[in-house]
Amino acid sequence: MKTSTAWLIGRPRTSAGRTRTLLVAGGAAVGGGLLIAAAAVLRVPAEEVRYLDGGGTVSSSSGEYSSLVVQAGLRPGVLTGILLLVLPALALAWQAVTTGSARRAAVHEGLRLSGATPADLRRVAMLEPAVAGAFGGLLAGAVYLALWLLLHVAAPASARLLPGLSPLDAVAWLVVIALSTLVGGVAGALAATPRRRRPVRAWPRLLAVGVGVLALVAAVSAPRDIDRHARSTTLLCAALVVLALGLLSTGSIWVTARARRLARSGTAVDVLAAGGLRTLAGPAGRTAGTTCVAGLVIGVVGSLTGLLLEPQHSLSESLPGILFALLAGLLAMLAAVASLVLAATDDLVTTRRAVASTAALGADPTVLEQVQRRRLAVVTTGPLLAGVLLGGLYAPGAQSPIALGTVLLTVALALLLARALAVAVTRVLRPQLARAAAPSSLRVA
Amino acid sequence: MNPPTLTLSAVSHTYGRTQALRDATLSVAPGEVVAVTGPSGCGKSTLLLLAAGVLRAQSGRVTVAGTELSGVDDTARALVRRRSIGLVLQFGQLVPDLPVRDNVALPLLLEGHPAADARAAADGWLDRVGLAVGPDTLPSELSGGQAQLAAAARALVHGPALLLADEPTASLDTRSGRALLDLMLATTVAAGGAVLLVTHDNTVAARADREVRLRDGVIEHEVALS
Repeated sequence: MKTSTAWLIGRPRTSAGRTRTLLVAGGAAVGGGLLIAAAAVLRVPAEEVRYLDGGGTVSSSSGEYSSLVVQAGLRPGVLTGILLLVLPALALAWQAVTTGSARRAAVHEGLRLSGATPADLRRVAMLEPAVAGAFGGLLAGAVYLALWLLLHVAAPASARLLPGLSPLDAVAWLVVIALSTLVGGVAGALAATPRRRRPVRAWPRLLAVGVGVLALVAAVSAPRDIDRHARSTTLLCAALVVLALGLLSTGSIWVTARARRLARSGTAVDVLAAGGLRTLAGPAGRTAGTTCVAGLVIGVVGSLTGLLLEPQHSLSESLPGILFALLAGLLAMLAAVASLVLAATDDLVTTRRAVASTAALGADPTVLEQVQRRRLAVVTTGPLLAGVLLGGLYAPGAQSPIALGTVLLTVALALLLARALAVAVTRVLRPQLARAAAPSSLRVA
Repeated sequence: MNPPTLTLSAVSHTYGRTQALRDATLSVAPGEVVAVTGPSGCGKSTLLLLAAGVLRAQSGRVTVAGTELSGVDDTARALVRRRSIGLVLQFGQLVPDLPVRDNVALPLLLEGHPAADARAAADGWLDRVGLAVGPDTLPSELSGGQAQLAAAARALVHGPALLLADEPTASLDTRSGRALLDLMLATTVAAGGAVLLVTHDNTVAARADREVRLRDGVIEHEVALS
């Protein structure tokens, strides 16, 4: 098949398709921009500390950068923070690539019946995410530039997190463009590969979460003298990444368990919500996973902010860290919101015949909206709260009431946020729900 | 005598524990129209999907236009489907994201024809089946009957050696159904192609040269009709 034919067939035509492409590009842009930033942080000259014979230390730091990026013990923490932000962005992009599975199955069935070979199908499936990835890679340069303006140009010298621009940034940018194109293409092909339905094996996923939690607790409880600081920070970072990956993969287990429970409750709304969740346990699980990781980031951000607000830190010293933490929290929230809207829209498109049948059987719009809200609550409230609480483990050493209060405030805010999200997304998607419930949806195969 | 366009030799297929087709043997010669009839769930559609190479026979052999489908991989079966088979299924099975015109042009586009030529051919076939659509009309804007007309145009656009149709007129009124059937049979047979129709409708079956009756996955009997 010619590439032009593959593009003719596979290019996004509907508004849902275009939104999906934009989300893939957006996820790749944010993830890519942050990766360029991580590479740039590695260029900042590390501080060398010499111990004096008479006690005390001498630092080689020029004072041009924040201690967060020059101290050997703190830099891995910043890099992990960046990596943790990359994860929800990429999870969102992956969710966007894999979304619309029912529609994609119909497209592939139509193509297959017309004589498209498996290679043709792969090519069609690869092209759109690859182009979106390339576009996202290009935008990653702009994202990095914005970060550089914020964390280098606008920041006072002692608070800078990024070094000046260098040709190496351009090299990193090119690598990001190539990688995001390649990863986009491979992700598209993977999402389109028919897989045999196998029961989800829960234990390896739960094991990953368990290992992540244990490593996190071990790292946080480790003694923090100057020699071991770098080691414990690295362990902490690794624990957070393992935990985030584990959480991303356990979403469908949570959704399936909740669906079973809702089905047992017996009310019409719960039973209908459970049916939808069971049918779409995979996509709903991916949303729950992304929301949980966003919660983890918010939890870590809350803990960090609490630690930085403790009286022993001066405001000028903590300010870049607090700003960075708030930016991270904002990005995580945006990823959670985008993931939720994407999933809810896709859910309505995929299940529109079922929605129309339910409406035809006499369910009024209020009931349909309640079902929608119940499903959204399953993938937001529990996962977000679990993520925030796990992120809160980051700061059990918080001594002051301020630090502890910040953690508790974060948990309360997350709970409110989850509730508000479910309500807001249901309201925003009212027109789509009305379209799905229309009698014309009964004709959809 | 020309070799048959379609041959099924002792073909069986099961879905889980359900035996959908058992030891089915059938051949359709060039220029011949065969109707497969039988009660619901007797294996008619399975037989058609096996003949199209969409399903792979679990035992026995399926040969289309000289290619043995059971012994080749997915790619080779797709190529046979693209070049030699026209397929009309009950609900049209159009690609939802593609305009109707591009859906009809699809077999030609997949074969590497220039888009302008493929679309011109598609317009011609849409005209012949009597479906007036705009260049950007999507399948979701069609009724069930219109989708079936579009699927018929898609099946005929590349002049297939074997036309396979599952209840091709089920969503159409009597007059439109008859007109579509006339077009499908006349076009394919005139070009020396073979037709296998799966139907419940006796008036559709009566248009065939031969009727093959299935019951519980087994060919019960064959009757020459003309």
